[in-house]
Amino acid sequence: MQQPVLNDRELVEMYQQGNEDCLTVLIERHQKRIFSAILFLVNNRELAEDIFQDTFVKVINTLKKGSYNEEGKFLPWVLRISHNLVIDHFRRNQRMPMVHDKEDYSIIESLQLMDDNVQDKIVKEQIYKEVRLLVEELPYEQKEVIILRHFADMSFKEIADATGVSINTSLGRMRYALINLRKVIEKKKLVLAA
Amino acid sequence: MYESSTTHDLILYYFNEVELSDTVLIQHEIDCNPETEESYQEIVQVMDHIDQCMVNPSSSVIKNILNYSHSLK
Repeated sequence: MQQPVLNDRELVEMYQQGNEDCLTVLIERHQKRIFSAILFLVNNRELAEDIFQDTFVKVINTLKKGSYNEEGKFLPWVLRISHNLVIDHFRRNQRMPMVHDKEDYSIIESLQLMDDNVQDKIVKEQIYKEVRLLVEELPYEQKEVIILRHFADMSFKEIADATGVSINTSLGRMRYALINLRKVIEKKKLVLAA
Repeated sequence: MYESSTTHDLILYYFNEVELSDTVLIQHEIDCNPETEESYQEIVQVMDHIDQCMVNPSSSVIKNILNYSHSLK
């Protein structure tokens, strides 16, 4: 008989009651989205992994203290923590990642191609080259709005409140992000699946 | 993509942030206007592309996190 799938809220509650396996399930469920969101912002694997780890240290501390109150919104909550840590990092270093050093670690290096056949590798490598261009060329504010809306599932109203701009500005940033991403994709003649 | 107000509507539609009545109108516009449909498909394709590029952190990071949690028991 198939086990019912527990939702995030149930997993959080069971974890707070001492079931450590529930944290494993939550991480497995959301790790790709959370890590990718961080990586898109910082474009540096080691830094992204540090921030990912720090994010979950905060998550664990909050849950263990019983002070979590974002019912049913685990993923957006975690992504907001990670986003704040990214902002803290760049504030400490007094710069935002508008321009990236070409020698920096790129997103390509974080992708695992070991299990692919040759054809898959070629296709993936082409896509990952495009991703590096996207990550490197998109202004921070435009990456930010994509991550908060698409990865964190925050509404444009919530994004506007969180980033201190109007809804129209958030929408405008998303519009320009889409235009810029499309330009990069077209420039490289990447064929996207419809 | 064409005028920004229309693009904003399509963005809101893609992310399910429009009222039901507007949803019907925008869907009708997408179905009937090739230019609108093309703009909407551009949004869908770019977002799909982002989805295809998501990656996992290393297993050692996950192990560190789980070990930290266990250490607080």
